[in-house]
Amino acid sequence: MVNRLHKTLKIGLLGAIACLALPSETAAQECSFNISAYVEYWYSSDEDIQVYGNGVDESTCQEYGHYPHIHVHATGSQTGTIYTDAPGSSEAVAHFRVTVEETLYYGSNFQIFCFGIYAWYGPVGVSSSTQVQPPPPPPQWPIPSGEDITFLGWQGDGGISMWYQFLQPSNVNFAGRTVKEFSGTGTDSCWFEGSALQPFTALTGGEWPVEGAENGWGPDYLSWAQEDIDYYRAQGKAPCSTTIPQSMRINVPGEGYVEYLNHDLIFTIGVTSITYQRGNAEPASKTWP
Amino acid sequence: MGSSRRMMQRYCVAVTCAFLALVPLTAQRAQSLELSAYDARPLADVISQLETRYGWIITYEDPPYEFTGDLDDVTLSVVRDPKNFKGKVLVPRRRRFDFKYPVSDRPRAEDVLAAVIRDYNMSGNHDGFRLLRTGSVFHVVPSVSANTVGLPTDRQSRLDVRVTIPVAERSVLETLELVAAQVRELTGVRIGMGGGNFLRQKKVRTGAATEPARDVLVRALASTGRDFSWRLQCDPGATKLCFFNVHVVKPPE
Repeated sequence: MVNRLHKTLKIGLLGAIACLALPSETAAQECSFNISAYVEYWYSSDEDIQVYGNGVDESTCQEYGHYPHIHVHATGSQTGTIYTDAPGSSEAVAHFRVTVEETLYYGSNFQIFCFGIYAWYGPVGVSSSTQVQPPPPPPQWPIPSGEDITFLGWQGDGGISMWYQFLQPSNVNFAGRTVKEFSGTGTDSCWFEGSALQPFTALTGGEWPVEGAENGWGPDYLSWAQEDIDYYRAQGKAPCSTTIPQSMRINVPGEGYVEYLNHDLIFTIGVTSITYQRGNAEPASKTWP
Repeated sequence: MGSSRRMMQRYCVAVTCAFLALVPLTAQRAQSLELSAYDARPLADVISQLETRYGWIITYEDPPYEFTGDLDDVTLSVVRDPKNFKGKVLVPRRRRFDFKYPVSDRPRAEDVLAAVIRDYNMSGNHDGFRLLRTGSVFHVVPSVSANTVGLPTDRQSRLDVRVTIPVAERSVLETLELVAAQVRELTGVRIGMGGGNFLRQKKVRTGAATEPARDVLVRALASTGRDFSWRLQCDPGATKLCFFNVHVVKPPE
């Protein structure tokens, strides 16, 4: 049996009105609302109630930038007795639980509106509380999760390796920001007491702009100087290498540079070859000179 | 009597205060700087200690070590495969150098360095040095070392030579390499210029018209905004290569 009732009702909202799809990491604000409005209602069964209405927000929601004009679409099911008195009676009461079907943001609209063939207007008091979500946060300064490292080649076909990087994740835009290398203290197995070369255990610290839709930066040059290679080979030290921790950091306004990657750079002098490795990328090697 | 006791108390307080005030002064006068090194390049080691302690920028340059009595043969301890290695690995002979100098809280760099070099030159080694200065940068450069038969021989800094470079904007590393190329041309000494990303990326617009190589190097490095110093150290063995080892001098803690 389908009931089609149209009455003026005092509507009591029981329980909380919950906002849907509130991101859990965003702090929402509790605000209460109190609406004076005419409401039309229509339902086709005792269990299926829809309420639409227009109203004016006289609530604390406005403190959070909520527009005073209220829009709401509530659905619910009956939770108490409906007294079907004669139309126009102010005694009829329906109890039902409603769920707001939109995510409320600070400054968003929240509307009660009415529809229905047998709609009947009447004064209504609605009171409850809900959560209003903060407005979209200011621009964030995400930190890359890592890099995709590509060996570009050898500068001028010489002995200097060039590496290009793409910050990850690729769907986050890091373009326009700056990455900078910081050095840890490395170990140089080529160096020996009295050597004319000082131990190669630190990086001087380069910096690069992040460019393009693919978050690219570079090139990062890894090499021994040619004279270094000649010298250590002449001293019978090859094969030998230095391993230097490289801390990659990205600028975060107000915070300086924040590390997103820490890995080793390995510079190897072979008897007849040179090999360079940047982090977990494939080493680049060639016979040199 | 009461008044005289109060006077006495005041006097004692004054004397005590004066004494207490004198104690730190006396202690300051008694302070002395004591640095030691036992190294192939003991003077360079002491200079590095001074850089660390005071933040002074002091460059160092090896003299030519030609006399076998000034060299250690470290072939066996250095070479990976001695059986298949033909040649020798030579380094300057290890020596001890102790330096002691009475200092105040803020000693003047030129005073301390003059004393260091004076003491080193009088310490009985075959090598000797002199002090130069470019602005706030001090240079300890060779003045004498023994030749191949052990005779003291006057030496000049390799960076005394005058270089000419067209004015242009280049990376700092390129500028250093241009200077090194001209020094090699003029002296026959091949200088390796190591340099990482920082010196590749930093640009400097400069040139030189018959200017001492040292001054151009100082200017190029100073343009980076960092306090760079260097150790120009050379292989006394077969390669005769020299290396322009740069490092940043940090402010004293």
